Amino acid sequence: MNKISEIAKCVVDETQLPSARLGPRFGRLDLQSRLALLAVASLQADFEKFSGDRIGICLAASAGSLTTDLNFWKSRKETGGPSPTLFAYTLPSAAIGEIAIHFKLTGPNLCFVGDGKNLFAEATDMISCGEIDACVCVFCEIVSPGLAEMISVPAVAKASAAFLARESNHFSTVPGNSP
Amino acid sequence: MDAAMQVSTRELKQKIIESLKLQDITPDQIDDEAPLFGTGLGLDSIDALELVVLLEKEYGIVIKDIEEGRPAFRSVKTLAEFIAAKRAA
Repeated sequence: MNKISEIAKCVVDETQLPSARLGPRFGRLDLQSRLALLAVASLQADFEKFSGDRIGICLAASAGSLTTDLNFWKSRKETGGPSPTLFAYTLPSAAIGEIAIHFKLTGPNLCFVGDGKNLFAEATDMISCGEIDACVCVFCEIVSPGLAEMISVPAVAKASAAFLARESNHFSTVPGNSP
Repeated sequence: MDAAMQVSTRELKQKIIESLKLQDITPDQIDDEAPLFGTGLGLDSIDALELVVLLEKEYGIVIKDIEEGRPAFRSVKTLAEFIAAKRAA
């Protein structure tokens, strides 16, 4: 059994979004999906070294999709109704879909609502049992000021990502990011 | 048709860009006659729903029958013509 390593990791926050260039449809995504996608892009991992169906995605969202749910609920009385696009993001797992589409990753995925403490264990487990060769792990902490006021927690908007993979001959570690 | 009923394709394109949050695309880059969906601007089914909402919010036009709206959503030009026709009706 080859060793499983954390190949790359990064953290991004809301201030980095305006300069992000991840395709013409990036602006359509909700905040959680934009940050998650930017975090994964910032890993600069060479996903093409793997077959797309051998890369999994594990995502944890500390507050689920509550920030987007709240925005959707607030917009329900607007003329024409709330935004259909916003509706598509009222699922905590929506960011997984965006990551999968953007990076053409078709392996299995898992979504957790809550902290990210299980992410690495689940990713490692999927790799160890041979289900996948690598896994993108993303932890999103998105609490808008409006939601923060409602649930009495600090507002936050950031996402962290890591790329775990089984070491093998077709794989080289990224300098400066090896564990 | 009364000039007041006409809809500027440039104005419509700007509204589409804002409504669909299209990044790094200007009205000048959108061909009036290019398909909105699939090829051309490459919009999808969620964008179609967003355009339906746009018509109601910006022009007060409610599309109840999707078959009625389908020909209008071919291009910016057909959409502008549809809006003008609805305003004139």
